[in-house]
Amino acid sequence: MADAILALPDEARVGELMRTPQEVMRLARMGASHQTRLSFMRAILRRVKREGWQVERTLWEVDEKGVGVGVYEARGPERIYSLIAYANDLPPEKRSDRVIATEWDASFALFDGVPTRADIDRLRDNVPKQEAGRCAASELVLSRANRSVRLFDHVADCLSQGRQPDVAEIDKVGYLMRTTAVYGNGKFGLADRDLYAAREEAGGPFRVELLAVWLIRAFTVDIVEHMARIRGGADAVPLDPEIRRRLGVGNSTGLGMAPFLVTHPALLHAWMMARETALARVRALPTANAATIAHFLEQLNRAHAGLERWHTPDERQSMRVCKLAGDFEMLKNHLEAGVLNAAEPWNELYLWAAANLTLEGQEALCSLMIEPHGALVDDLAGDMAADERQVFSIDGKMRVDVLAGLAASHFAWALATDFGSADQTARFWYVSEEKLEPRLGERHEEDGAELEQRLGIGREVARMMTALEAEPAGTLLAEFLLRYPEHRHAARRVQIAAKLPYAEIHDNVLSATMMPIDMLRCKLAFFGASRFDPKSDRWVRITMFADAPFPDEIAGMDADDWAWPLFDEVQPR
Amino acid sequence: MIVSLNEAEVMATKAAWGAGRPWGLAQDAGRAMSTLEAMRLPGAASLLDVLIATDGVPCDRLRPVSTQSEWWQADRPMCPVLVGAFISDQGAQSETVKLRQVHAPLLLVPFCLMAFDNVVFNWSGCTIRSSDEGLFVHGALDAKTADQVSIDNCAPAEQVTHRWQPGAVDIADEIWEALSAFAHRTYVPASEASRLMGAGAGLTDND
Repeated sequence: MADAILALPDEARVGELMRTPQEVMRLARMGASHQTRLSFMRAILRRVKREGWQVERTLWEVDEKGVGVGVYEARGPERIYSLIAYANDLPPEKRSDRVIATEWDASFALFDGVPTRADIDRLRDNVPKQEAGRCAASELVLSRANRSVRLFDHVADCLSQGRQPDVAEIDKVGYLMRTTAVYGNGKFGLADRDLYAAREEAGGPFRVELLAVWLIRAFTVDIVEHMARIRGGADAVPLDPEIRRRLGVGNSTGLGMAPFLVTHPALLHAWMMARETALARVRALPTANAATIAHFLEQLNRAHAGLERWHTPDERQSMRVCKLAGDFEMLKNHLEAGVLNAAEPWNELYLWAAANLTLEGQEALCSLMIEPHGALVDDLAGDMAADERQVFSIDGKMRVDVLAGLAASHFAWALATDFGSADQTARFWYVSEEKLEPRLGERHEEDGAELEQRLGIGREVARMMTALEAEPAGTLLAEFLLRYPEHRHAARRVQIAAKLPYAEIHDNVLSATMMPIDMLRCKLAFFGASRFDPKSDRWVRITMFADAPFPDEIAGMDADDWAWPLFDEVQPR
Repeated sequence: MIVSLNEAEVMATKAAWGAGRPWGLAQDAGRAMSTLEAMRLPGAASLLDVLIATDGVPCDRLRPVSTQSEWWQADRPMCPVLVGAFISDQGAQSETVKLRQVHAPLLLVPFCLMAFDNVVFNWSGCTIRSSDEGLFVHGALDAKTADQVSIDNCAPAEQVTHRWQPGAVDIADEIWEALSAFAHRTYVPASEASRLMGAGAGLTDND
C-alpha cells in the first residue's frame, strides 16, 4: 500500500494547519464539497469488505408486469439486515420525484433481521404508501424510487435482444432508478436511532440508510434484467459487470433536507471536524513518498477524466465543472514543477491551490490529497457520529457578559450582518400545511412569515445580543432566560458553537442570495454522492455508489477504489 | 397511535411552539416529553394538559415572579416547562426548591434529572425519586395542577419502577390528535406560488 511507510505528522502542526470555521463554514465553500474517503458510503463498503459480509437475494416473486417483491439479506458478522423491495408497474403520468407523490416504481424497507412472510405482507400494505403507511421498530429505513424511464427502457430493450446497452446512454443518466427521500430514525414509525446506535456497524451516521441504498442498487439491476427476460425470453442476456458498475442509484433531493445541517449542530461539527482533521494531518506531513505521489496522481487523472461523466444542464454548475477542468489542468502543470518534492509538500500544494483555484478546485484537491492517506485518516470515519442531546443543556450559571463575549467571537459574521435590510431577511423557512414539508418563502412577497422556522441562527443571535446590551453584566444566564425565553435558542447555539467550532454555518440562510443547494451538496458529499446536477437553486439530483462494486463482486474487488471512475471506463468506446 | 420516540419529540416540540412557547423553549418541551415517554410515563398527556391550560397566556404570566423561599406566580399556576428549564439551567440547588401552583408537575422531572445527581419530588399524593437506574414512582401521576411541589437532593432510590428504554411508545389517539392540532398552527397554508416554487421542483420528473 502506498501509505504504509508514512512519517506521522506532528500533532501541534496538525492543529496549526486546521482550516478555521470562518473559512470552512461558508455556504459557497460548503456548496463546493466533494466526497472524501471519510464519506459514509465509502466507510460502509470498507466495512462490508473487511468483515466479509455476504449478500444474498433470498426471495424474488415478481410477475411479468414487473410487480412483486424481492428480499436481499446482507449478513454481517453480528447481524442480518434485509432489504425488502416492492416493485410496481407505475403509469407514466404518476411518476414524480416529490416526496409528496403517492405512487412509485418501487418502494423499500430495510428490515432489522430476517423478515417473515407476515412481515413482508404487512409492509406491502404500508411501505408503498406515503403518510398513510406506518412502519414498526423492526424496520430501520424506508425509501421509494422511480425509474429513469429513458435509461430503464433502453437497457431492458437491449438486454432483451441479447446485446449490451450503449455506454454513452448509461453515462448520460447514470442510474436506472432514483430514490426520493431515504428515511430513517423513527420517521413513519421506523426504529429510533437509539435502538441501534450502539451497534458497531450501524452507529456511524447514515450507515443503515446508505446500506439500504447499496442494496437498492442491486435491485435496480435485477428488475431491469427481469423485464429483459420477460420481453426477450431466451434471447435475453444479463448486464455486463463492467457496464453494470457504471450505474449508481440516483437521488432527487429538495428543500426537505436543507434544514438538517442547521438543526444538527453537533453532527455538523463532527463531520466537518473529521474532514478538516484529515486534511490537516495530510498537510502536516513533512514529506511525500513516491508511492503516495503516484497514487495521488492516478486519482487526479481519473478525477479529471471523470468530469466527462459529470453531466448537468444547470448553467451555474456546468460552468463550475468547466472551470474545475481548467483547475485540474493548472494543477497538473503546477505539479510538474516538482512541488511535491518540497518540505511539507501537501501543505505547499494546498496553499498554492487556495491562491489559484476555484472553490470547486480547492475542495476537489482536498479530497484528492486525503485519498492516498487511508492509514493516516481512516480512523476519523469512526468519529463522525454525534448525539445532539449531549450539547442540549444550557449552562445558566454563565454570566451574560461572558455569553455576549462568546457570541461576539463565534458569531462575528452574524453581528456584522444588517438584519434590518430587506435583502438580508428576504427569505423565510416554513413548513407547509399542505404537505408538512420544509419550504422557503419570500418574506416581502408572501404570507406566513410569522410562522417561520427559527433556522436563521445568525439573526437569532443578533437579536439576543441587542437584549443583552440592556442587562447588567453580572446577570446569570438562567435568570435572563427566565425573563426572556425567546432568546433561549440563541443562547443554546452560542454555547454549542463555543464548544464545537464547526457547528454553525457562517452565512445568513435568510438572505436573498442564499442558495439552498449549497447546504444540500455539503450534506450529500459527506454521504459520498457525486455528479451533482442542480435542477434549481433548491433541488438537486445526484448519483450514489456509481462505479462501486456490487454485492456479488465486492469480495473479489478493491472495495474502496471507486470514487473516481477507472481510467479505461472514461475512454470513448 | 404507536409512534417512535423521535416522532413523539418532534410532535411535542411543534405543539409547544404552536401553543405559543418560544422556539428554544419548545425544544425543551419536546425533549422533556419524549424523555418521560421513553420511561413509559405519561409525558404526552402532561404536556397536553399544560398546553390546554396555558393556551394564549404569555410566558411572563407563567414563570415564577419570585424565586426566594418559595417560587410562585401572582395570579395563576406556573408552566412546568418554563420552571423546569430554569432549574436545569441553574443546575442542582443545595436547598429544597418549593413551588406553589404548577401545572402538570410530572414535566418538571426530566429537567431536574439533567440538573441533579439524585432528586426527589413530592406533590399531592405523589413521590418520585431518582437513581442512575431510573425512577421510583409512587402515587398518582395525573395531577393537572399541584398546589405545592418540593424538589430536593436525595440518596439514590433503592427501587426503580421506570427505566429509560428506547423504542416505540403508544400514545392515546385523542392525545396525539390534540397535540397535532396545536402543531397544525405552525404550518403555513399553501398558495399556488408556494406549491410550485416552495420545494423548487417542477411537477414531473420523467427522464
